Amino acid sequence: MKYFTPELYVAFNSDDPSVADQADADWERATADYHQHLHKIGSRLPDKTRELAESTCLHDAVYLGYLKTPVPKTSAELAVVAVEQADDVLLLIYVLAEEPSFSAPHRADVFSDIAVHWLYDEVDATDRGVYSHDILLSNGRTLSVNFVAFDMLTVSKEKFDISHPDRIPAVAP
Amino acid sequence: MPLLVPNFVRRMIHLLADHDVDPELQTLANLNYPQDYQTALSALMTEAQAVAARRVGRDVVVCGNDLCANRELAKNIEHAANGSYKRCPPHAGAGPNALPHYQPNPRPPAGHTFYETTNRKAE
Repeated sequence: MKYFTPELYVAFNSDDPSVADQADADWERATADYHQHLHKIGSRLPDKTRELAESTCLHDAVYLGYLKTPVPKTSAELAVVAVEQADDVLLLIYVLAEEPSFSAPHRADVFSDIAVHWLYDEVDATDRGVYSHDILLSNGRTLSVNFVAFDMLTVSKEKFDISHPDRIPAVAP
Repeated sequence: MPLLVPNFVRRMIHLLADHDVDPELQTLANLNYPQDYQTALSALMTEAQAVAARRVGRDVVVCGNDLCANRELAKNIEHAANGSYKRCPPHAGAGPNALPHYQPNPRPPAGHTFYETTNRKAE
């Protein structure tokens, strides 16, 4: 995360009013800087990736899990991030440019392994048509995905058995 | 009535638009408060009423120009309603009027206690 860092999030949650006030101002600046960044790279983003960056808000969505799978008879690999938001399960599908990574957990009282959910995310465009998506989760970890193509599938929660949050059931074609 | 104390009026709390409004609160909402707070779809409420609203999962918003006071009142409401809480800054993808908020940590229960800042106001 370059803008909405775990450190800034922790400062925002400080009980010290002066620290919290400063973090509030820093967050406003980070938001403005991020919007300026998106404006700069916007024309280079494919439609779905731009939609993800500019108008998709998954803050507070329940993080169900992540999987990676090869695309049959190709050298490509897919990553799927599944989250639950309101009455839907959203499947974020990436054609990978490289292996995704999880950061080590950021240690702070405000982060917890219980009921992990989506906090903040950032999209970037690197060179050669490779894009990146960093997702800060409420367990203090950041999932970083570098990808060449992206799409998102929204499926009614009724289609899933989400009593097993570590498993993503197959979706009928 | 605490809502008539001018200092409190500056930090009044109103329910978000899509919830049922108690007739008594609606009466209070119709009083001639400053134009900034005459959002047509809001209802004024006391801190105790805000706590009660949060306990059933409704969203509330603390309004006013004093960031510190708003944040403190929002914290008190969320703590009284749901115990453990955390504070979340506005999400970049949620638009320019997105508000920082308190929410239960961990969830559930549902809902948020939003608060206004110097730059961000509830509509």
